[in-house]
Amino acid sequence: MESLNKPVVANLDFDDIKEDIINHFKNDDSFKDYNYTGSALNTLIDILAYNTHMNAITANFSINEMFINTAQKRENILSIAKGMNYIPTSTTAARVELTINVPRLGSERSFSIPVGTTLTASSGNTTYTFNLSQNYIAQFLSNETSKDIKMTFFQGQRLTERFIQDTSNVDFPVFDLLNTNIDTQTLAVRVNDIKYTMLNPEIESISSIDSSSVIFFVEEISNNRHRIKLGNGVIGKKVNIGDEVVVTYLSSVGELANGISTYSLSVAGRSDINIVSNSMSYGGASIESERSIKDNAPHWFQSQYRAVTTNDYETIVKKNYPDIQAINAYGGEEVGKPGKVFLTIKPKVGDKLSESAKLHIENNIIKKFNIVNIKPQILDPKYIELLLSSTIIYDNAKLTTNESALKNKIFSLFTSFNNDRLGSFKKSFFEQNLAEEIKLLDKSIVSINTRTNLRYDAVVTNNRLDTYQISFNNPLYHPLLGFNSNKGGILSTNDFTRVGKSFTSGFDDDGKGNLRLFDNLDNVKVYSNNKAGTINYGKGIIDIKDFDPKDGNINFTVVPDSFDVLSLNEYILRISLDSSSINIVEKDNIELINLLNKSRSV
Amino acid sequence: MAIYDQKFIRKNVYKDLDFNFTKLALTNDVGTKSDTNSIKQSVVNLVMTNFGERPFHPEIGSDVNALLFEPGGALTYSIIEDAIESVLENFEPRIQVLSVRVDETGIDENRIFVRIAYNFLEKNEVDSFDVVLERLR
Repeated sequence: MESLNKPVVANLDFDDIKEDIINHFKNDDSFKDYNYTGSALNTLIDILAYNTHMNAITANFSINEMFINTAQKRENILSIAKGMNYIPTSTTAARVELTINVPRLGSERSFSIPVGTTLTASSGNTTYTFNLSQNYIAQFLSNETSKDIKMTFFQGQRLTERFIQDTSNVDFPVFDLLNTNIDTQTLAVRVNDIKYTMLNPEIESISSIDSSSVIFFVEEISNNRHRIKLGNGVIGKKVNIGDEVVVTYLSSVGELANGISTYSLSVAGRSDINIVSNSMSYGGASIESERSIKDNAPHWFQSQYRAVTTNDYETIVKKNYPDIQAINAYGGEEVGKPGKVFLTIKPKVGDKLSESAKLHIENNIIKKFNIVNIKPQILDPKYIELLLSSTIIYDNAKLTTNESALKNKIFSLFTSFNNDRLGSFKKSFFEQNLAEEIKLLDKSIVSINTRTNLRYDAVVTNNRLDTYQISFNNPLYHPLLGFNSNKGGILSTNDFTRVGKSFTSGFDDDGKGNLRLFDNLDNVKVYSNNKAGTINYGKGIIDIKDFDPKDGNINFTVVPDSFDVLSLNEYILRISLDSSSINIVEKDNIELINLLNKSRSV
Repeated sequence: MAIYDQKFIRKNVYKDLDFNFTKLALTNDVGTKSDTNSIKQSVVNLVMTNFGERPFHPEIGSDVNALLFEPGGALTYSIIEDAIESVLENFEPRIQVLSVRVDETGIDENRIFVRIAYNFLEKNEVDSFDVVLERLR
């Protein structure tokens, strides 16, 4: 009993604290009115509980804000991250690489396209402006009539702020920039018209910095704004009274300007300069979120600006290229290719990165941190579609809506399951998790049985598949040698056409590890190649020999051995909403249950 | 042999601190209020508490103080009576309110008297007392 009367010090809630104090009074017979709202004692207990509550909350907040995992206020998260030498990524301007054609006028030797030249791009009803961040010069050889130049434009509004240093003897004078959404990579600082260089932890080498180094630092302050910090005369050159500091930067909309492919260029006085080719804009991202800073800062500190472990690669790429929804890095030794590191990146919009973005990441980001003898390679994510066939048995007496509404609820759940539990690297599908979530949807649901098939959608371009080896990474259903050979084994494809053929073809397997290519002639399967490839049931790997398909899609569907499907390497699992089916059956409909509720779909 | 008769033993049902924090001359301890006096103190306390005054419980109290700034008259008095009756019914379970009547005889001295009659439920005793309501400015 005694233990019951001890105050619970972890209580933060006002009413709980008050209850604790009242319990304490119950042990003392001196007063009896503590429980009545109007009594003096109750009023005093209110004040005491309020005070205790405020102290507890203050202590709780203070301690939480001291650690990066629990801090809530952005300013505090930034402050802790700063201690780890981590500078959160600012808004990043989307970029586009394009080639323009500059016709030669007369016998001019060169033509300069200056910084600030703009490119307009439309996305829906919105127009975005892209800026040139450096001068480009077209130099003509004597016999040239025009010149193609490759250049990179960055989205954003080009802004300039001017400050005059008005105090002396300030250690590290600071200049707070007024605008938000600044891409700090585009910052250009000039003091008395001398260009200064931004110093950040990964390039910082404090021993080479002296009192004459023209450097500046950038840090984020409150309300998504940034601050320029200049030297103090020991580390970096000092500014004096009257010195003029001019800061130019882009204020960008971030990821909104990604994925644009239509542009119009205007070079002052030269309407004859045209765009020859351009990539899609990419790389734009919003300012780094608190969640992301909490995740990245410790990893960044751990990596020490060198890409050694796979985790380092992920952290460094994410830090420098924020338009990433998911990233997975793995060593080549895991897939029999030592000396390589594979990075698979899923951007925030779309299924894969553009070739320009991959080159940018390889050349401008990874190279700076990579160990010399390791070759990084960026792969596109590959998607394995889960074809679900769920049989839901329900009790009609408890169903408050109808079968159709129940079915819609389950399809909505598939969508949210894709977003929350799948759709990223290393996120495996566990049938039991899905069953639990379906069960919670409606009280009338008695039983759930979900069968899963796996599908890889291969693309044929120029009569070649995008891959000739499909790794489902999960054992396939193979109870005995020659299983289901007569009916096509456990592998099937859609009908596709081969070059020069008027009929359709398909693949299946013979249950003995061979892929068979067949033609559909008058609705009869006629096998044209019984060894068109191999299928490794244990590892879930299909190797396809070269053949002659016409351009289009070929979907390879297999039956896995387990109800759970694991996700490995560059593969991402997602439920195919179009190809999944849901059967809703009343619990007394025994005949239909027996027909549908089977453990295998073969 | 003496017979032990429980009804002669004095027993306080309720006991509270004296909100005036008076000092007991004999023991130098803080003064207390018990039973009827404790209840009267509680009633006055509830009536004089404004909504929102008690931390985390804005529902406790009455708006009698605000009503003192309303034009005097039967309507305002009726609202004051209702407000007092309501707060006592909600937050003072030890009594049953029998009547609340505003007496305007002190109106010239910028005050009104409110006579509250109640039944002390534990002892089944009927009692009444006046609460003086004055504007502070």
